[in-house]
Amino acid sequence: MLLVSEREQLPVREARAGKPSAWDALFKRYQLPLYTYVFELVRHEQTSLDIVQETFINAVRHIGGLRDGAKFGSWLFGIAHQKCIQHWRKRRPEQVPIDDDFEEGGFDPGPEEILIRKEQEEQFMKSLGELTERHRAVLLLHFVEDFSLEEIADITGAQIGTVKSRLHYAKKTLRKLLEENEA
Amino acid sequence: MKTPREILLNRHRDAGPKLDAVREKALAALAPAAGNTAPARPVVSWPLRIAWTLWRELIFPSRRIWAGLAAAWIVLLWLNLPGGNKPARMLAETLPPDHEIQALLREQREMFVQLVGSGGPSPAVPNKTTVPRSEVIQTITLV
Repeated sequence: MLLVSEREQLPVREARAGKPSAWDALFKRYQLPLYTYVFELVRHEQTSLDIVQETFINAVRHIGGLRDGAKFGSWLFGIAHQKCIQHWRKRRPEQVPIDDDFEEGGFDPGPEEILIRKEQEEQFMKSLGELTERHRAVLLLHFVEDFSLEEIADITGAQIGTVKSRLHYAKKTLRKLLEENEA
Repeated sequence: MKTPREILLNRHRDAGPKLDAVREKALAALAPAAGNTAPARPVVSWPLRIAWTLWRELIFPSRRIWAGLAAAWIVLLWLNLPGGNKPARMLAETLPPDHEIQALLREQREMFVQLVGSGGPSPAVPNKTTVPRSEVIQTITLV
């Protein structure tokens, strides 16, 4: 299993200097996880490809705004997340999932990992789709890139307490849906 | 058993070729115009690169503090500039012109004369030592 939590040496410094090979390496590293995240939020292939392309172009233009090269991944996903919100705003402005500022107690998402059996894969994807966008977003960030709570808070613009409670709720709901299906 | 990450990425792996095309288009935003083999960014010498890194990492984040320190130093240097008697010049600039000082002195002398009541300043005590002492003939009168 790929340990996404390992801080691999990304050529961010070379990318800042404008080296195309560095950008190519960065884009290759993130294109699939980024597309997966965006697709599971907007649920439309062409829109997802457009958002990924815009995210990459924005990253090239605004790399100077990235202070810490080690946070390139969360920074890139943050740009993509904003683009997804803009897409929702255009589609259904009255239902934009604005991140709330409330904090629902100190839920600890826990270190336990969810493992899915082959026969449960479809149900897993269906259950994921049934979550609201804000819960799906934090769960996807947690699953796809194993971002920390702080990184997820930075990406989504929510407070850490809010991220904790959403992640706890999303995992609990997912487990419940998978167990119901098993039964 | 698979992790959610494996399931999610496997589900979208077929989009690989389309993502490669997206990546190429994004890289084109970096590449120079067709036919130009020069690099997208001009080659920057290492001293400039170091200076830029120092600026970005050290000075820019605390630019207000640096600006305040620089202003303080400029003021100190200006006050202590060599050549040019700045304090005396500053003092001279604050003093009134000479003719005004003389008029003031004249006025004060007149007031003094009026107060003391004499026609003028008392004559100076005559100088008794115009002749060298060795040539002074002293007359001693015996009583």
